[in-house]
Amino acid sequence: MLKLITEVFDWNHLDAYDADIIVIGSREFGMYAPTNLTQEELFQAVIKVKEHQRLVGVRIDRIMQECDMESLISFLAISQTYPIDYYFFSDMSVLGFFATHPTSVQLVFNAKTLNCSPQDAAYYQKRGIDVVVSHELPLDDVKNIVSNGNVGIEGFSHSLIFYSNRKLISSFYDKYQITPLHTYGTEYHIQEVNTKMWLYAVENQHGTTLYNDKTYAIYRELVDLSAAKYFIIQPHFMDEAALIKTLAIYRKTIMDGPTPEGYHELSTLHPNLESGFLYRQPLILEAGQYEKN
Amino acid sequence: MKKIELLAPAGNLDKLKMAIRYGADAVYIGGKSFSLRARASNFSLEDIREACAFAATHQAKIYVTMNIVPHQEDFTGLDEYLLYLHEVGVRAIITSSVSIMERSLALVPKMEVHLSTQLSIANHLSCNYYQEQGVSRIVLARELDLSQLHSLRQATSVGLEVFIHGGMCSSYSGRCMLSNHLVNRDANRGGCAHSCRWDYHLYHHQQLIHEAPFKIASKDLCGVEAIPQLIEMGIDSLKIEGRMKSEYYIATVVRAYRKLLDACQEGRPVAMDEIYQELAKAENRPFSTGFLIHEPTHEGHLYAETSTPTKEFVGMVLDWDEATQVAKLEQRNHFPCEAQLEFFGPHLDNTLVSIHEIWDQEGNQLDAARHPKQVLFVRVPFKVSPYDMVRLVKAE
Repeated sequence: MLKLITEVFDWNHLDAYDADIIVIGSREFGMYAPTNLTQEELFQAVIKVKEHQRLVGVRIDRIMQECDMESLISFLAISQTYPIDYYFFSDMSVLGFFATHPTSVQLVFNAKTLNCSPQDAAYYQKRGIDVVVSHELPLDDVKNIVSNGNVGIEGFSHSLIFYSNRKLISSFYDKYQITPLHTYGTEYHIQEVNTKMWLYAVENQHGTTLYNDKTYAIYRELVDLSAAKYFIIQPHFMDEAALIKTLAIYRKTIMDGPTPEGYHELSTLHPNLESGFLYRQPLILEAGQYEKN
Repeated sequence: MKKIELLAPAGNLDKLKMAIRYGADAVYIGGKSFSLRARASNFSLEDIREACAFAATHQAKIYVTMNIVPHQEDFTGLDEYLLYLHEVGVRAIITSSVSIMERSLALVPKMEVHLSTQLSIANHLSCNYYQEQGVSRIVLARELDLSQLHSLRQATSVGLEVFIHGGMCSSYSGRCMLSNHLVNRDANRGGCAHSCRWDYHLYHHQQLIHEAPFKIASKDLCGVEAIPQLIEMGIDSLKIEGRMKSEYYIATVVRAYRKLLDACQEGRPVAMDEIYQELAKAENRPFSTGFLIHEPTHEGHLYAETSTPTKEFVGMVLDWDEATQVAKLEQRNHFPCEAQLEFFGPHLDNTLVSIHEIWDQEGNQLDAARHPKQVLFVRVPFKVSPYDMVRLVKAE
């Protein structure tokens, strides 16, 4: 059965989150999320999740630099003393660490843009590592990758479409000598001038991330993706109440199958749903064609 | 001190040969499959064979990029392609796919596998993991500074390649889907539309922060001042970006870095100003030092700044007649018959000459060189050689 995964805004409300796996993002080693915790908070939360009889994952999915190694190694070593069930990672340093520190914890590779084929997914699966497929794929490709087993889909989230180590918003303020409005984690919008497309923009101490302002939602396609192992609902750009309702909708869908009423409920709650690339192929042009385009 | 490799880009055979003539130790190229930079008139199979043969006669190496993030249908013909590359003498593939890495190591173990910067590898645990898998070299993420590079070098023995010049993604490489979402072009399969260079506006709670466009793109990288330390710390290869750049750009940039590397490695003093002046003669965007020296400030980002070459490329030497002191040139850009030209080449320092006459192949005197690729003759009172290049310094 597909396992529902999400993150938690308010730990006093943990029981209201109808998820099979609670993931906790690390503020130091995780990509931006409004739910990320400090190391101390994270380990306390791990214990709390286990006390509530749930599975718990730790998300350490930032690209790690050499200057992060000492603290990452220390963090991973300490984390092995806690009852963690999953590590969600995107940097091979995590795999490198566990190559020399064997663990029974399930590793899940989620590098967002890099898992686009059954062949690449198989590399990890052969090593006992689960993978999460990329967003920018047509449904048939997602089905093919999922059919290999041990694959997750990040089925409800704002697609992460740009991940930089640069502090682009602070730089913009500096460039034009504007008094800063923001602190790290402030959610901005940017709009591309010609296409008029809106994106979310967030900066933190690790750089800047941009997200599609529409919500990528796999819903009726769940019928074809029953072989998937995980269904991830990201908490970005919504409040706790919406997240808890979204979990309930997907829980019902996983149990009973997708329905028009369920989709209506979801789209009423989130008016900006999109199917991403599920039903469209990106242009793949031959050499020379770009100049004419 | 081990000799550090100067690795140059090439989008076609002519550029590849120019890169090697002007001092590259190795050249990276893309075939028509599996490679990013779809606009870079990628190499046919026969071109790759010829490239390897040419490189072999000049003690240079050829690396072939297989750096797309492949989808299922992209794997067709993988084995045949890998076998062919090995057969014709390709030294290494550069890939960002773990399954291509694994397949290549199993099928043609003598052909090296280098991992692309598309994987944004930036720490020794990742390097060591991949080395255990059989990878020979890591093309490191461009987000590392010299201090981190030094620490990383100390902590791994896998080959390390560092970008030192050219365009840079503003994102971590391979982690930008702007083109996919804005214009439906798959950035990680060669379709990058450089959407990072477009104009955006920044809002907070629907309020425009400033009327000036919010920019995402970075300035180009110029790592000249980092070179001595990169050599000292034992980096294996220094990479120039730009498979889509011109022959002139490649010749100018490769030659400048060749001079710098040779001087550093031989312990000779280096006039850094001259290196910068030389690089400025090529068609670059504005420079920054990227992450090499310090974290980029707004000065490392590309807002409205532009840059034009300080010198214009006007011709290529085809031949020179010692008896008449006349050079035969192929025209590349307009220049007048009264002009100061600068000749330079792999074995020719920048040398100025004033010209007062231009002739065409029929012996007609011309008031200007107007036609691209036209064969022309000018007086040059010193030896010049085929493939030397000519810049216009000033019209007189």
